[in-house]
Amino acid sequence: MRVFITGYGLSKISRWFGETLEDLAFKSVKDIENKGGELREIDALIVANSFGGILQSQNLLSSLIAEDIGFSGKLTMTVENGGASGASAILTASSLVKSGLAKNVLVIGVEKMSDYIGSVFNHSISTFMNAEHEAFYGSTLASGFAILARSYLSKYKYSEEDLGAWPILMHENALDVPHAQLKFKITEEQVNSSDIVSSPLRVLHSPPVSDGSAAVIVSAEDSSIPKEKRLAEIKFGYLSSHLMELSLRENLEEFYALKCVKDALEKGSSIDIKKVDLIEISDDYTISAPIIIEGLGLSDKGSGLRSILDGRYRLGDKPSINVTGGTKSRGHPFGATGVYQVAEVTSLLSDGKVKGARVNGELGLVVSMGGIGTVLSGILLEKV
Amino acid sequence: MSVFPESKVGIVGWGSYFPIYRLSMEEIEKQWGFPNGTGNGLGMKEKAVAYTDEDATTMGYEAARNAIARSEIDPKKIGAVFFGTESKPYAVKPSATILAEALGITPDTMASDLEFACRAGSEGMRASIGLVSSGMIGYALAVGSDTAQANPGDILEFTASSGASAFVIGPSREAAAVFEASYSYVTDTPDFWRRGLSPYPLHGEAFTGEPAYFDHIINAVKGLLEKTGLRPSDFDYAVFHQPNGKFPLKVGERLGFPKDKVIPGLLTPFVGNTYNGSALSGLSNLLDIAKAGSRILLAPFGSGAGSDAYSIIVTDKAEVKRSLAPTVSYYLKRKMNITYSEYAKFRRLIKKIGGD
Repeated sequence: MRVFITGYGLSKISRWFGETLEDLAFKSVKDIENKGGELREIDALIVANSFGGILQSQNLLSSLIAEDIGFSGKLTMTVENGGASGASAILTASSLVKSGLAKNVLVIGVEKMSDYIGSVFNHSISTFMNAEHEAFYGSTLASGFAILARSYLSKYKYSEEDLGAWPILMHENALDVPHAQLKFKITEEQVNSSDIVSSPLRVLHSPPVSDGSAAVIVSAEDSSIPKEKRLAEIKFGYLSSHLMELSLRENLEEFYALKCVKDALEKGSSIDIKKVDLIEISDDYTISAPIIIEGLGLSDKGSGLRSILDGRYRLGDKPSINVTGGTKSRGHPFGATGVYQVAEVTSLLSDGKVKGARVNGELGLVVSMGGIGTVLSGILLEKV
Repeated sequence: MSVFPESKVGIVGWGSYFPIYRLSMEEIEKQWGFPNGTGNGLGMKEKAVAYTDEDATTMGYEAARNAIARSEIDPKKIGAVFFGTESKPYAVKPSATILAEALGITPDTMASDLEFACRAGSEGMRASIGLVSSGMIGYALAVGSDTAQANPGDILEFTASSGASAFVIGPSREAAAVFEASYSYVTDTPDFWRRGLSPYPLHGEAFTGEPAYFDHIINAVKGLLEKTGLRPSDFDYAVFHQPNGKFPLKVGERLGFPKDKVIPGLLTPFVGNTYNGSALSGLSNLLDIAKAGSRILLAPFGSGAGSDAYSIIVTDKAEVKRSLAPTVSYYLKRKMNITYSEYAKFRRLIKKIGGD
């Protein structure tokens, strides 16, 4: 059974102080409709969200959103898998479709993180670490990524300033992206003089606090949605997790979970990742970018950051990576991020234009991450 | 432009007061381990600190004394005293009466304390305009004064400071500056608050910016411009609430007021955010220096939240009155730098048993 994306909706990522989770979800569903997506044929709803239970004290979120969009009485579920929640929801949707339980699944990623002060935000995202062994002792997601960054920079002999190239590129890439949160350029000096979050990571290496919602329709080959609505095909998807606690890992400069995903993708799809045109990765706290680029086999170990410094992966390069700004600039509404990534790649493959230039690509890959490389996912998309 | 009731009324006397002590940003950075330059990043150089024998009423008194000196009126003629503060020494028992009594205004007067975070003094000013323009009273005294509190180690500590400004509001024919029009914009927006019995305020971090400070000031100023038909280019100066050294420039830019119109009334970099004294002290400084005929936009803001926008025109009487009391620049120059430990003692951050 082949599986297609037959619609996508994107809403502007910002700090939406005046909107509820349901309001945000409604916006992306409305955008599917605006873009000609077929909502009447939907027979299942999956909501991807990571913090509703903690920040909004709201669980069973999919039931609530189903009510709001007039979808009660059907199959609904909520998927939580950290920053990979969105990708996990889409893989689940794909499985529902393949199994025959549903023909068209609406996946909504939604997250609202800016209602609370920094300490609450940090506490929330630090739930992606081992609560008893790490977070309890004051480790935060930022400090975990900082350990990775320290280790990477020292092992491969980079300076702290070398990290700046990535966020500068991400801010450039997001400039003309309508739904991106941070649409302004930054300079090397601004990056390297921004406040330290957890040394060597600074504010401008870090993702913003984001509220947003994106949605996609995942459809079966034999669904009643007409063929011309097909925008991209989900060729293959896989997800793996690996040791959560940093102290248990043999190596801090790579994500073992990503190796598992890469192996499964290449084996399952018979596609060499080097042939992929467009890649969207979770570049959390900047250091994730070179680690994931190396993990995908695009650069040799230790040379991922060098290749970024050398100007690789920009729009027009093969592969182009994060041409819509990544978590750094598009924004990082954690549970929704994966849905944004898949919607973006779908849009780029189907009718994509970035900065006025047409994106020529047949193959796209979305790599989402939960925690500090604890969960990695890969979704291969092909132009229809 | 239509004539508004405000035009019957003006500022007949103005005055400010800042304590002599200054705490540098470096002292706070060193104490709490903030990266060097954190204070500078907020557009701050140093902040004024009140001594142990000073509070909102003593500073309000000093500022009001200067304002009354410039008004050249008998204090007995003042028919209302509005004291705007969020750091009054008594939770229950008016501070306005302490000022009224000490200044020789009692007993034939109204007097009350107003609370609206940093905007209460401004509300006192707008209420005074109403009372005087209606003819109910001849003169009113509006005071904004605060010994602003900040949780030690909170980012707020870089700016929260002490100071006061006061204005005698009276008939426009006697005024150093006349009001042209005013407009208020208020919503229930909880960006910053302090619950009863809590020693320090809490704030919503980024929520204090866009949905609070910027939204309210921009809407108040737009309301004033719409009401009067004036444009930003009609104003020679613009004074906004000054929670740090950056926001006023940013809100000015967004409303179309260039930096050089905002900087003359921007005192926060040198004395900190004096809360109810903040925008009003900026105005006080402009009355010390502006030429007759200058048009000033004044837009205080208070968390919670609200903003008032006033159009004010300086008259030729300002120049004569300036020498009748110490100017803002006198208080800015009169300073002694202190250490964080002295600051902790002066602001009673060190708890001890017995004594005071």
